[in-house]
Amino acid sequence: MSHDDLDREIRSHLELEEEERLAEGLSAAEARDAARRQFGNVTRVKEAVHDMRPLAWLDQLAQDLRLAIRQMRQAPGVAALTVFTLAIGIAASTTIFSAADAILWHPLPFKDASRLVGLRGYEPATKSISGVVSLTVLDKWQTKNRILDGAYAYDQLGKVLTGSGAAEALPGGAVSRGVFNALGVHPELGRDFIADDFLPRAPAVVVLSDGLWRERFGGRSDVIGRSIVLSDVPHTIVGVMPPGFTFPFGYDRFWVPFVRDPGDRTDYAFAFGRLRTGVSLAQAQTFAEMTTRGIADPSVRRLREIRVQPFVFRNPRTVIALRALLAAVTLLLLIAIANAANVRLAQAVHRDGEMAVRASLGASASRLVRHVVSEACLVAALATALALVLSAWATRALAASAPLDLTLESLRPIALDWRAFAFAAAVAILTSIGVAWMPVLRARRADVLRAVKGSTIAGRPHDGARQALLVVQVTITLVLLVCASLLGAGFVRLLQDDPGYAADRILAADVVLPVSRYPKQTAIRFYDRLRREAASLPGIEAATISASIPPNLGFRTDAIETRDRGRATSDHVMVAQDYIDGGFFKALGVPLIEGRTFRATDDSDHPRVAIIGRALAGRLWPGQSAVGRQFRWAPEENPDEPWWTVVGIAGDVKNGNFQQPLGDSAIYYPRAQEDRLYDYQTLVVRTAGAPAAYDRTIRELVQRLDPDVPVVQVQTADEAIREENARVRFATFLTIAFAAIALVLALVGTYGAFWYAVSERTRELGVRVALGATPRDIVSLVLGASARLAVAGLAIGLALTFAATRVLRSLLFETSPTDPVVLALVTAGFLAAVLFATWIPARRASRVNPIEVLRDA
Amino acid sequence: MAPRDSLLPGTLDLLILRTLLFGPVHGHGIAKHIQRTSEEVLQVEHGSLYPALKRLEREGFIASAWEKTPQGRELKLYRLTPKGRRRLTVEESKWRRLARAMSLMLKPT
Repeated sequence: MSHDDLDREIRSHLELEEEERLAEGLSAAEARDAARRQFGNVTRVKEAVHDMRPLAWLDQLAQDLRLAIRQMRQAPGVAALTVFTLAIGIAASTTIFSAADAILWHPLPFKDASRLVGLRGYEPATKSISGVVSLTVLDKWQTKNRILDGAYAYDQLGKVLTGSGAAEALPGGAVSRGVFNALGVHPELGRDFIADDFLPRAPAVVVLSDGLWRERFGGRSDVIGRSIVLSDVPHTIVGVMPPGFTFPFGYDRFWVPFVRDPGDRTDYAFAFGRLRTGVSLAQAQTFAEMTTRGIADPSVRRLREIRVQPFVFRNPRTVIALRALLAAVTLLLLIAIANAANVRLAQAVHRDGEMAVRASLGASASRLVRHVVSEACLVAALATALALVLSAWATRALAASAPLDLTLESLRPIALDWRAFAFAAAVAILTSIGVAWMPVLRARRADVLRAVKGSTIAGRPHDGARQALLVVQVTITLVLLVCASLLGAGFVRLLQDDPGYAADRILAADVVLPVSRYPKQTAIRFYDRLRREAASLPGIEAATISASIPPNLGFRTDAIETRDRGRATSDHVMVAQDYIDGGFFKALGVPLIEGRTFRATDDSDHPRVAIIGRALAGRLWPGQSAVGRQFRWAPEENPDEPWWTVVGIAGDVKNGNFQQPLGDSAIYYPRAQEDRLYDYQTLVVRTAGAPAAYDRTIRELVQRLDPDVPVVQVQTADEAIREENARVRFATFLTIAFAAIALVLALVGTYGAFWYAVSERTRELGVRVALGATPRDIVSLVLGASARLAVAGLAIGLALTFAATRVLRSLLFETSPTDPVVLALVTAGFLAAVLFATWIPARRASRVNPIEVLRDA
Repeated sequence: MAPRDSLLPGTLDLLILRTLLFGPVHGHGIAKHIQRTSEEVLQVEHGSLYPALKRLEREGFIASAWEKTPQGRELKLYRLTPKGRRRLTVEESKWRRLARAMSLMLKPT
């Protein structure tokens, strides 16, 4: 049925009726009017018939969309602003959702992951929980255990792969029997470990990760049964795990059987279990508390009980930070939606007339509403498309800059996944509803009379809602701005903080020796030669060998005694320690304040000597010189703790990070007096130019000395410090980004809202000008209204800020969460920005020409 | 104009089908017939007839065709299909039952 057909039929109907009326004696004009009146609204009838066609809705949708596009093109600036505003809100929330999803909510990639539990050691004497358990206790507990289907031990280890290409240090896992099975993951190729593999002195076997298999063996299927050399021991490859499998730490390249050597003194390992069906985590926790008390035999000295905990240990700080971020992006999204709604509302005012005319021409109310909604959906669709592009990019950037330990906790990289897409779609629908609802209200009330008269004096029905939106915006933005400023201030202080050494031109390379070929004396000779050869390279100013460099020095927490004063520290002190040679202080730029550095003669044939940090010296011998005095670690666990004679005092270096300092002072021992085997040392060089450029030089040097010795990592000191503070950097970066977005949105929102308010009041303002109001009066009138709203928002915002910044405390470096200077500056600056955003429409209002305005009415 | 009683839902369909029972009629004729037979009480806005006609046609109860009248005027005539006739009997018996019940309630004897 075509449109024309209906037209023709209606025409003939009207003609017949007209003829009848003529016959009744009406004039031609009267007859036509009567016929039309009798028929009713022609357009509405046509629409009603039209709507009945199958697929009519599709046609209407296309029509609505065409109209929507036309309208957007009439005001491209407003359309772009709305789309962009929403896109930023959606992108920010999608990105943070992706991160939170990967880190907080996504189940581990294992079978029945919810029934996996972590088993951790508990020491009743100190009431502390450790990551590892005593295996003796675990074995004993297992015999009476009724809550677990199985308990499994694992450990992390590193081995050096040699024999094919450059030597490489690989991280891997040692797993007890049945671990793969318990995780529900099976080798893609070959077999799982079998009972025989776990016997002491069994032939060495290894299961490769998919990544290592592809890199080293090109993914060939005939690797099973072949042999590779790991730390000088040939291992037979028995299996290859599927792609993506990682356990326990997120970057494992191989697995070997976890064998408990009877001669091995280490009784501690990581452990997990699988809950029996029907047993809850809480029941398991209670059971463990009740049944492991006192089951340890006397040989176990630490961690004598076991606690059941969630499988993944999540850093509570990470959880808090992510929740805060989620809250922040939710607020940001709300601001964006409020903003878009405000802009569209402002636009809708100018379309009241159009709506009213269409209504009077016979468009049904539902049709008008549908039209407005389809416009909103178009905006939301465009915004979502743009947002997905933005968040794909932002997620990658986020994943690249996220601190490593953040993602390792979840064994899962941050990536934009389908759940995030689903979330974006949900947000888009929410957004279109949010954006559409106010113009819909207006469309439903479209009133011909009011619109045609052009009157906008009568009530402004949504004033209250819009003012509330503005106050909320100002409030949220202030909270974000204050948080960002505090974090920024703390971060600037952190960057300017003196670490106690010259970190700018230092390169550190970790060099691992295979123990079997490098017994102690050989290892000492190798590292000495490495240091000498490195020092002679062009562009290297100094070279030294140490166990590590700050901020990653080892540390010890115990009491210290002095020979002359007895127990010098009342309780356990945390002190950084390093095993160095005499060149350490020069290479790192740590000042030697008193005494001397180590000499070649400070070896195992001579008395033990040490250099200590200034702060520690002051604590052990207050007000006296420490040089020549003796101290030792309190012999609580080890009765043979040796005495050390202080030969020098060095400047203090910062170890760890400010959130978790690992010793505020250090003790340095000569490497040659260290009894342990050392197969893992760091070559530290001070370079003439940018240190990163010497990465290759150092790797080539090691390769030349022994091609089977791997360089595990090469890092500049600056990088090491940056990595330490990655968490703070990350939080700061994100909060500042959010605050910047919120600021822009709030200013656009304020500007839009007042532009709208002013254009609505044009006539009133015109009357005021006609009655003698000066431009200054008009500006202060408009600014006053804006200032009242802004001050209300700021007042609420400041109150909330005190609550919000409490959470920030742990991220702030030497900055108080209620720093009055920051609070005052941010508040004043923000108020000024809001007033400026109002000033532009206010100035426009002051130039109102009363004659024009009044004539238009 | 007399106050218009709004039609009960479904009534218009019944009235249209009933009008066509006596032979093909055009839209205007149907409107007039309904008006007359209901003694001007059921005032239908003529326009509202057309969506109903189109719906009945789509459901196959009536059929239409443009035809030339002896006066040379082209009109679209609607006629009842066999399916429509069956529908009418069903609808009508339902309606009669309802009307009887109503009159019994209003005029208890």
